[in-house]
Amino acid sequence: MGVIGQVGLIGAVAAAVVGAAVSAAGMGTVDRRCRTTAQLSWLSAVLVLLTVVSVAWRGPVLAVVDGVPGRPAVGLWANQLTVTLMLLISVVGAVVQSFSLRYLQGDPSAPRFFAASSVVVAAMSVVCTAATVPVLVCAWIVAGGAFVVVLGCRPDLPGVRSAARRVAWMLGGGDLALLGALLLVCTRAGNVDLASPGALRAAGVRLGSLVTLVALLVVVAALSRSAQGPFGRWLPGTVSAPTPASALLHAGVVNGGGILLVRLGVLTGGSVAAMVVVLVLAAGTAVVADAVMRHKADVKGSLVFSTMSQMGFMVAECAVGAYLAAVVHLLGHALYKATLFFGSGSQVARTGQAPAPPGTRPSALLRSVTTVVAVAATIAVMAAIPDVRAHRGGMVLLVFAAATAASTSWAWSGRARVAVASMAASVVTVLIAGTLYGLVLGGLGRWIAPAIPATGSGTLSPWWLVAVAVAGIATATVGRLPKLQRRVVARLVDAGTQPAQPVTIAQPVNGPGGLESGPQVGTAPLWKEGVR
Amino acid sequence: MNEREQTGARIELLTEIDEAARVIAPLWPLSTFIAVNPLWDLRHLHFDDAVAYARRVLDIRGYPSSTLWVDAYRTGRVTDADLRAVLDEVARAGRPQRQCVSQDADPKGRRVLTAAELHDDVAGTQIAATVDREVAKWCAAYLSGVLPDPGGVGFYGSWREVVACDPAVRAHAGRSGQRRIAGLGADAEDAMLRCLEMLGIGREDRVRELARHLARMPGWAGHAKWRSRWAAPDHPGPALRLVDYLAVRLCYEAVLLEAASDRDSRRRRRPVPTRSDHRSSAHHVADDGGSPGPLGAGQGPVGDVGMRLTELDAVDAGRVWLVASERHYRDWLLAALDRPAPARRGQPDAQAVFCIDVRSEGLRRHLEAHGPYETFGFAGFFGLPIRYRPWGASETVDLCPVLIRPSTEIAELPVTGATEAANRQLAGRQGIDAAQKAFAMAREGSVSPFVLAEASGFAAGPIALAKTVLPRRYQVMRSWLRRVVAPSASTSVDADPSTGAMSDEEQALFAETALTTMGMTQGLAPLVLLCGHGSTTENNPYASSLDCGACGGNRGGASARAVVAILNRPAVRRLLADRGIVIPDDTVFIAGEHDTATDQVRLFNIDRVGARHRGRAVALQSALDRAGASLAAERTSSLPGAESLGHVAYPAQRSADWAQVRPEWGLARNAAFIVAPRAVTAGVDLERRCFLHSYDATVDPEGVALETILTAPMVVAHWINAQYYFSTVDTQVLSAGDKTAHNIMAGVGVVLGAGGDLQVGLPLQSLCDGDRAYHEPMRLLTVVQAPQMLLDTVVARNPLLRDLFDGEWVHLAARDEDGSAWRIRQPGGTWTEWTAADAAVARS
Repeated sequence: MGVIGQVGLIGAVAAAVVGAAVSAAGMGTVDRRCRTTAQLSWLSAVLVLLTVVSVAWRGPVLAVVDGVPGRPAVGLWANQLTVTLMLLISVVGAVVQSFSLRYLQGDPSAPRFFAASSVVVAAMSVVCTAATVPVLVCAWIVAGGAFVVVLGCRPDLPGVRSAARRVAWMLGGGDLALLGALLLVCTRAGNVDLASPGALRAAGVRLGSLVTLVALLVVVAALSRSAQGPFGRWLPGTVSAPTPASALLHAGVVNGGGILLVRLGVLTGGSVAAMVVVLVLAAGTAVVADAVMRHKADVKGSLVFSTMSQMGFMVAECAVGAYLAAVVHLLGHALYKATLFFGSGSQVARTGQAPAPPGTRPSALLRSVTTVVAVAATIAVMAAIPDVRAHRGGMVLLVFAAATAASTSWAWSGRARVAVASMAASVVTVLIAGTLYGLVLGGLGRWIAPAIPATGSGTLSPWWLVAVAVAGIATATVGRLPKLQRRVVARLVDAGTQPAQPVTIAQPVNGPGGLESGPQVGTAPLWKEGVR
Repeated sequence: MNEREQTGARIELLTEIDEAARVIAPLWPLSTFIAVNPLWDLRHLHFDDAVAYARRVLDIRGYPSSTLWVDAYRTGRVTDADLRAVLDEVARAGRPQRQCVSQDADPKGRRVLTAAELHDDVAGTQIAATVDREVAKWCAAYLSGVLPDPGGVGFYGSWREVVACDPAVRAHAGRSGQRRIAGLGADAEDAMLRCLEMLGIGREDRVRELARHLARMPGWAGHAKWRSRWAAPDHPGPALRLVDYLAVRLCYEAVLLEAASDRDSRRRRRPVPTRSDHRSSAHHVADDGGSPGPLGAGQGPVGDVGMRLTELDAVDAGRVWLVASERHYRDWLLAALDRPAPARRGQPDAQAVFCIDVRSEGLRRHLEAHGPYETFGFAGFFGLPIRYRPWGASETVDLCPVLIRPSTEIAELPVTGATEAANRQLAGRQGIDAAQKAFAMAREGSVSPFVLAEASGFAAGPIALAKTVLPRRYQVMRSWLRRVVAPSASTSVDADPSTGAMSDEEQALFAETALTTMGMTQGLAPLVLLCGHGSTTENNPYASSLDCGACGGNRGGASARAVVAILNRPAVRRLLADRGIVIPDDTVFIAGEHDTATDQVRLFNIDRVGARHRGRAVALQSALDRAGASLAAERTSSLPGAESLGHVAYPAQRSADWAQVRPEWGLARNAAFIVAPRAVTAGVDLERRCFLHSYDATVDPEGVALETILTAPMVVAHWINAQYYFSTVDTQVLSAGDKTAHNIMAGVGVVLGAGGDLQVGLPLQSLCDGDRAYHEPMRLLTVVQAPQMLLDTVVARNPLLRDLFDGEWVHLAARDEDGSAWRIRQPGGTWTEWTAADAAVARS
């Protein structure tokens, strides 16, 4: 079975690479090549699934080339955590490509999109499962570069060139930081093995006082990939590219920061300074991006700012050492947001479809009672699932879940019929959703827990996450104050708008002569003569 | 300025805005997309002059590019003979010496530019682009409700409240810019006048300046034009008016230019440019791509035709190609129709009336081949403009062409005995709606989105997988789930005057007009189907562009149901009989809806048809099923990706597929509007390119019906045709661009990518198959079978028709009756005998 796991692990990456090659340089028609690449992506996903089975049955799978006996030089390492992340990436990648077969049909640049997206998937799979730090860093850089190519596939679309350039710069900055960290680690601790527990911790000890610097460099890389803080500017421009590129963001590109922080958590968690930087920037981004999102008028713009905010939450979870919560968020959000991007064309409401609201509105008391019942029941059931409470940050997640349940049932009961059946339906639906979520959380917790990195000495208390919630509520409240509202609206609307696109007025004329002699537009002075 | 002068100046300004807005077309919201001639308000000009003016202001291409010609030439859609005939004609007539209406229509005129564009060109600034960004930003914020307008003061007033705090103004114009904006008055018109003065725009340049301002972003301006001129006065939501829109634009332009000149004067360099400084090439209208230079060896015509084409300039060459391709199609069509009408096959089992939409032609052809059925063509709202309220819906739908207003409200109600089921269904729908709203609210919260996203992700992932891999199965499952929550209930559309519909007399009057126009006053079959149409597509912002244009961009089934309800009422039939139209007692009307994406036809309330007609109705349904299946098979091969996509390429799959950007071709390749009895076209494969309107001149001696047909359905067909024409010919400005980068903005339109202007026209995926154009751009050819005298009278008494035919927006061909020769109406009203330029075309 171990062999099967190794075959699955290596085969999955190989299939994606071959797929990229087929699209980039294969024979046959454009449609044919893209189709083959998509099929290979599905093969890759199936092979990852095979590895998952192997890991579940026989434990972690190591596929390495040893340098010094017992010390891997290069290789892949699948445990419960890494293989789960890899499964997410390969499945999202495969769905994106299946979708694009129809969506990009007839587009001459489609093969380039398929090739580059396969490279993104292959490289991020390697980042998830790398057995050594150098392998991880190299794959990380390849993934970033390939994503820039994905974005730039259609340079004829407005805004794509400048967006791709900005992404290249910002991701490149993060990559440089990560290269710096790699250099420091390699000179002090050699080729660090990620597969054997304790190797990363030992490397941290060997780094000595440099550990803070290395942690900060890694954190910069993670923040840049996840569009946090000052790096947030690259993300909004990506909506210029065709929709599948936005969905592909969630195959490890924008959530790559979380992957990096979880995989190198032992190293970064050792520095309080790094963790404070991460928490402050991520929490700030979560709050601000959420506020901007609420001031966006376009569907994709609001999705992309929501992504930025959600990534802030995920990275903040990493900063408090709630790695399991971060991984669950990474998985759930990637699936959620990719779906919303795919379906972003469905947001035009056709007239005459919405039902008339029920005649009488429920009283505030009835709404409150319904909401309290729904929240209490949901939280009680979730808290009763042992694996939910057990993991670090589990209790904090319950607080957030309670807020979500409250918000949902309050809104729901405001529109429901004043009838026992419909009120009960809202409570039961929220309860079922909460229970399913609790089961997923608990199940994933039980599956991944053995592979979760230990929290470092620098990680902060999970309750700091509540600060995110408090800051969010405070911002929303302050923004509604009449005195500040104008200012807030003006700032947030402007913050959510892309810079002006330089436009050329007209193409040069290469047509027939005689145009020069045409009548002039007018002879009036351009503007007030007095102004000079 | 005293008050009277001020009022006078304002009135003058409003007139100038109207004049300037001629160059842009209204843009309907996406929920009810309407295809419109982008140059409709320039229709008083000749086509060529309107295009020339639009080129100068909008920077559009007005004639097909060389790429399109090469393709047409290679595929034989234009031949040497066609080109030679047109070239001979041009040589004979000389350059058309038309009286240009104004200097603005001069084809060789220079580009019209705003003050900011002129400044940008000389000083290398990006002021015009900045103005666009700011205006687009605030339009979006206003329409989505982000920019609050509690007092209903309009766009300008709301913008003025907030803009003083806008960091962008500070960044581009500094504190002085903020002060200047604050100094502009609260009234939009006054502010505009102030800004025009600040910009030094003289009276004589105002219209051009305003026109170019509107043309910078034809999408937002088009939305404002729709809202100001076309929308119902009680249309809900924020109203972006043209005056406000222009006021905000001019404010930005004036303030940014003042700031720029402040900067210039501080640096003591660069004299202020004036209009006469602009001699750079950028100011000339763009080349139409017309020079035959780019045609490589063997691609275009060689020999004498090739030589003569090279001698023409770009615009003239484009014109020659366009006319030649129109002639080629005209020759083919008239030759195909120039044959003895097939003998009537005796009493049909049923008659079916379809919309004039080109897609109906395919279904009619197949239905006639599948049984003893007779078909008719009529505008899809069947002449009855209604405001329709679907069962339990919160809002009404206007089911009529946008040129008219609905006259009556008709509701869909549960049939007797189904009230309880219908209420249960409504409760279910309300539950689903409440859940969706709750989810949306939680997404917008400040704490709730985090857990909501991760929790829903584990459900969304499998759904996305299913929708991508098995689109049809997923759709079936989703509608099953919907039926579990909101079970279907039997409803009917009733026209009883007691329910608030029209009176019996009004209904009878309407029925008389409709039946006469269709030519259905006698010989009615026992079963008559009125069939509307709609299109079911998934994840498609342009879904309404595939629905019935005659029903205002909505599905047409409800119109058919309402008209059927009227025609089946005994009271109406009695009154009709008094007017001389006898509907036999055993004739029953039923309603249906053709889904043009899947080619399935659904008949409404077939269970309520009496036992006598049950068998016929069932037979009709089965014939429609077979006809739909063969039509779907016919269409499959023309849809792109048929070979490479496998089973997901079939129409029914496309309709359910959220990844499909070309669910159907819609009205692409539309070319002609035929007003004649079906016998003239029956049996000819018109390739779903013709609007077919039934018309029998023998029952219309006064030409009343003909006049209605030419002034209403033909105008709608012309709008659609011109929309397709200009979107194909100018893919930059007048087409909505690539669907894959579309981003729905404020629910009213789409932008390309991250923001900017709303896109106008049709998306590229509706026009092109990859790099190749699928639509063949040509102006509408109207073919009428009616006495020439009658036709001349009708055209003479309608200035609109004279504009369209004399200005060559629409071509007109006619013949008096079966077997007589086709004649072509020339601009000015003379008629010439039709002869095919290319004899081979006429023979084939």
